Amino acid sequence: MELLALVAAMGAGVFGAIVGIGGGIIIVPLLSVGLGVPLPNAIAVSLLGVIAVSTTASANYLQAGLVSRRIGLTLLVATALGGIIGGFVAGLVDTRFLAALFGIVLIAVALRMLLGSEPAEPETIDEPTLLEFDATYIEPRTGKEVAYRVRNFRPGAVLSVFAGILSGLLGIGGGVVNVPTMNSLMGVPIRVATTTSTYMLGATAVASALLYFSRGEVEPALAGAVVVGSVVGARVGARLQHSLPQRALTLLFVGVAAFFAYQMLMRAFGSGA
Amino acid sequence: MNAARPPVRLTTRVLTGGSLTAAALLGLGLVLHFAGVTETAALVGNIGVVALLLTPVAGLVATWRELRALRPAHAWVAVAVLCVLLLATVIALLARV
Repeated sequence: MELLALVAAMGAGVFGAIVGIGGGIIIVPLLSVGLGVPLPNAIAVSLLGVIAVSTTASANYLQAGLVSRRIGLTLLVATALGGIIGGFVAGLVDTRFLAALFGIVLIAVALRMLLGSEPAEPETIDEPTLLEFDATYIEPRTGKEVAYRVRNFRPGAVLSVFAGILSGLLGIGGGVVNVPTMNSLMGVPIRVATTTSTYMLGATAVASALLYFSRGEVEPALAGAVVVGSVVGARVGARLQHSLPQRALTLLFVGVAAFFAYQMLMRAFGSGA
Repeated sequence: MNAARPPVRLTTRVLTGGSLTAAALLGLGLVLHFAGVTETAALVGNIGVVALLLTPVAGLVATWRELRALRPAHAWVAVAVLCVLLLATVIALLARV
């Protein structure tokens, strides 16, 4: 079982590092449904896999200048606060309604990402202040410095609070909300949005993973397989990310968003709901 | 076009070192598990898990150190992230009791 988990974690690490979602979307169903691991144990080791992907890949992305730490850190505060609020309102809201709403919003966002185009490069950018996030990055495929202007920061931060709430209530990872928030709403290029999301995931997963660990739900051998596989996969994924065109990144992410939207709508309207 | 970029070397070293150390310990635990040395395997594996959990936290501390000279406001956002994560952890652990 551990060897299968290791191979699956490698695949999850490659995909998660490229798209900015960590890889839990692959590991949890594979361990729980495919290998019969109890769900809490599967989630626990999946969270460790997400931390491994995040720390491994973001070291590579930071070195390449692809991560906006300013945006990532600020949105992290909002998302983490949302997670705390989500913990308090759990049980007070109808999660089927929330799942339906989130599924519909995800479809709209995916369509917008699919049909929209990257904003034009600004001629000048502002020196960053606390709430100014304009920046540049070196596009790895061309070696050219690309400037981008961040818009709608406040709505983006508010959305991140809701992302944290939804994440807690619906059990979804943060990446599926972080990436479209940064790309579609705030105008951050898809490459920077996915790498910054990868940077954010590790910190957000720590609190939940610690809780599972303190309950004794982390099985060390299985965790070993998943973490080793995730580290290897994330190193490969981070290198592949540099060579993928931005359009391919967008299409990959739209596929992920469509999958999540389907899952959410099934949860809301499916027979098992 | 670009303002001076804050350094990233410390953060990348912390993240790489932490993830590789954790993976090495967890990998060793896995090998010991296959060898049938289960108690030692669990101990080594659990140390690896702790190393992995500490890595993003250490990364945030490293980020704070790197940003504080060029972007002091954003450096304090890193501290805010650490505080909120600590709060979330305490609340989660209290809710469990």
